[in-house]
Amino acid sequence: MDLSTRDLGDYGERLACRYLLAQGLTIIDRNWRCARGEIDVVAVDGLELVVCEVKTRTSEAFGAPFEAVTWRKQRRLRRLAGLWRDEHDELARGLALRIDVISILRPRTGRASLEHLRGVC
Amino acid sequence: MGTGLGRTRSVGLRGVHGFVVDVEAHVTPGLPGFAISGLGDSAVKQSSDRIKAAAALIDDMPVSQRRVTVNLSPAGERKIGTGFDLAIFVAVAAAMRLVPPAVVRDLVHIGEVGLDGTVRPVPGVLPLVRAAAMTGVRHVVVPVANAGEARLVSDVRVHPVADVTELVRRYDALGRGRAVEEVPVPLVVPPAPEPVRDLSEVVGQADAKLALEIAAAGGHHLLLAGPPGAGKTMLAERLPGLLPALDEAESMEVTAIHSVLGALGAGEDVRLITRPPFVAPHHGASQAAVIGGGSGHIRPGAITQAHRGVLFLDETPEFDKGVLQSLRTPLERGSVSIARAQETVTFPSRFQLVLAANPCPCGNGWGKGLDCTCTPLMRRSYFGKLSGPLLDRVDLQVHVQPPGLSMAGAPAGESTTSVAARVAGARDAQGERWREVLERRRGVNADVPGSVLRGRPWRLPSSATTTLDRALESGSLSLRGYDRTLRCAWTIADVMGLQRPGREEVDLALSLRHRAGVAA
Repeated sequence: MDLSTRDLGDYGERLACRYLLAQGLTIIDRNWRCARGEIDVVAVDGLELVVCEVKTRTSEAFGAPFEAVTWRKQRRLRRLAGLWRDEHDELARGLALRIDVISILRPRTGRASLEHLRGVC
Repeated sequence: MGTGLGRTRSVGLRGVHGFVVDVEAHVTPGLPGFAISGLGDSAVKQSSDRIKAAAALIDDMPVSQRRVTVNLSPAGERKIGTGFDLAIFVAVAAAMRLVPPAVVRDLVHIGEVGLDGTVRPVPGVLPLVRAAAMTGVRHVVVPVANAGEARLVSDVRVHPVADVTELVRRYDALGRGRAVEEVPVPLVVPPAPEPVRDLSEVVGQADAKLALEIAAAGGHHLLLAGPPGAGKTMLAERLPGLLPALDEAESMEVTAIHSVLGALGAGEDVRLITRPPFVAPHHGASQAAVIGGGSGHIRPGAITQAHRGVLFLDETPEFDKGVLQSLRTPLERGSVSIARAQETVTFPSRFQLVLAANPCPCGNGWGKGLDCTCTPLMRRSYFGKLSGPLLDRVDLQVHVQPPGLSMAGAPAGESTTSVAARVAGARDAQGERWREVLERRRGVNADVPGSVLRGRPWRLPSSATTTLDRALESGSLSLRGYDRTLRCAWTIADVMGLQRPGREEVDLALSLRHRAGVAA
């Protein structure tokens, strides 16, 4: 079964959300968009506001999923996180900001694997 | 998994001396990235890309998927070039526990890493290894092609390496306590030695040859003035052959300089340079090429390459005036300091200067000068560039006449070997005599201040200096010229095996100056 890039991304985000819920986080926003770009998942982990980027790949032929998060993308994530907080002042009050990246590798056969990096930038 | 800190050492180059650099690598499973801190130039920054490619060849070394931070300490000192690649690679491998961290920690690694994992040679390995040995390092790992050069340094074990995969394998075996075989260094055919230029090949030119012998014996700077084809270049090229061989410390210095310039060969068969070098820059040379400098990385210039040897400036008046003027300080101090906003680098530059010049721009203004097409003004300005402070430092100024027809069939003159023997004897006598005055070994007459020669106990009796005194009184000779004549007279006496110069030697010295026919 071949998935389009879009479907693959949605699949990865659903998987990531399930994982985060299982970790005891509260999901408060998904696929938030603004003029500057998109945030995949926003969650609350205790006293931390977690802005999460999800990268999904079917193989490592073009590098590991994490490698796609370049410093340019990291800078964009930081800026987006700030924009989200400005817009949701009432939800974000008193929480520290943390940026996470979740990488999901879903080979054509076999089980998908998930890796979670906390506080990357 | 693959997390931690790794350390090893390398050596950086500052001028022609090395300084030991601690290389630390921290590897964590964060977002992939490779940062190198510690004031590296762009070659050092790009090291991360080379290392990522080379690491991809090794199992369990996913450098491109890890967050790697490398620090080169002392972090305030500038690091130049690709020689840190190997040390950074080994530090990263140690951090990922692919090589035993305790083993590599105190070793020095030098070398550039290629994308295919080969370890490539870098310039300046001799001074780098020497600096490592001086700080007490016992083992250095160098590229195979630099192994011969590194082995010139005593008290240190040199381990050549050809490839990073093989290096990791050897360290791994070492960590497990297995025997490790050394990498054989391929033997290269040494380049054919330069043909010895013998003094007997020069026809006639008795005066110029005498001046050359005196210059060699007393370490005097020399000016050869004469028309084209007179043999000025031929004579100058034969000066290094007359000079005594370099002693151990000197040849280490000279070889280190040539190593930094990349002028040594590769492989097993690298030898110390034991003969005084001969450097002849073209007259179009820039100030940076002659004195040293350049953008970014400060490179030694021709005067440093000629350290302990001969710097020959052919067609001296054609050189840029700024270049000639900038020779003065190095001539005086024996070293040159190149200052930049960020750093100051000092290079050694104790060389013997030989200048060659045509008598005028057209080259025919010798003898009666009937063929000369130059105006008096042209002739004056041509030598005007030379005269003054630079010529003040040139003790011997002789005119070279073109050999006539009668010289063509003349028997060969004295050979380099027999003249060099006399020079060596004269040098021994000078070293003995000036040991206390100059406070160093192997002092030469050219280094003795005029006040010493005119004062007790070295003052010559007035019977010996009659002609010289008269020239001074009549104003045809300056006091500086007086001192220079005295220095040459001492050298002439040393060559002839006399205790002190007499009237004949002083007069000969004076005549060697007067032959120049140039404004001094």
